[in-house]
Amino acid sequence: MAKTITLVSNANAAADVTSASLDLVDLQTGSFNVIFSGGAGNLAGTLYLQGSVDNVNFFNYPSSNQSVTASTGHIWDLNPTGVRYFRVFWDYTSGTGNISVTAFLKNNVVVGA
Amino acid sequence: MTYIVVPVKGGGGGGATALRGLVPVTDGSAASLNEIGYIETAQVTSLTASGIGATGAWGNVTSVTIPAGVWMLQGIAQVFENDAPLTQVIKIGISSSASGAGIGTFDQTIIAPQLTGAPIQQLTPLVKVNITGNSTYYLNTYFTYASGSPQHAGIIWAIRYS
Repeated sequence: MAKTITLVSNANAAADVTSASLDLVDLQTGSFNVIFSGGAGNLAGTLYLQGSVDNVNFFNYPSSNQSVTASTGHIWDLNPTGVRYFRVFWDYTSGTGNISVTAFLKNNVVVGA
Repeated sequence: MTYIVVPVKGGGGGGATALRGLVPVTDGSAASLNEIGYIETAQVTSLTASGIGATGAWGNVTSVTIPAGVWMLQGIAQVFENDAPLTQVIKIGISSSASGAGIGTFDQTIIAPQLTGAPIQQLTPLVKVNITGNSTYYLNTYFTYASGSPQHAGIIWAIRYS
């Protein structure tokens, strides 16, 4: 079983953006994909994957900070994780364009095989 | 000879609004409004976005209005993401408000929806209320979503206990 979830859909990236948070409940695997589009293709800034156990206090996921230049996208792969809530934070520096954030979740075991 | 008539709570033969106890019948008919065992129901049979709350807020499926007495309330809600990927757990509960979170403790069913793209049906917890006048109770749902429009349907019922 697997599922794709859109957390940010083509939002203006010429400013800081915080995605909706995603509750993994008891899932342990997944990935987060960030794509930049439109504008001048010159977005610069830093992407952060942030985690929380209470959906209130978020902290940067270890070693997840990703510097962005020229609107280059990024993907994080979680396997496994004990963190329950995740979100993506875009810390804008310069440029123009839009940002989309998508998560992909799946069980890390085969069910009903 | 003097007869003493002792009124029995819940006994039959009262006035039009008096509470009547268990009334035997031979025709299989259901209890009437002022009889113990009466069931009031309301339902929305098809999935709809009508009544859905904003993201992170309670919304209402349907409701029942019941008179004074002791009642047990419960419901079944069907919830569906409808291409509005849900980012947090779904909640289902009985409330005295159309936008309320529930009544007291142990009044919500929590569903983890992350890997489910099909409608889900779940019972709410059973809620007891003791009311002194007409009151309305609601079957409510709670979704958190980044975009789109989830849907819900369901049934709520109230059974008179006293």
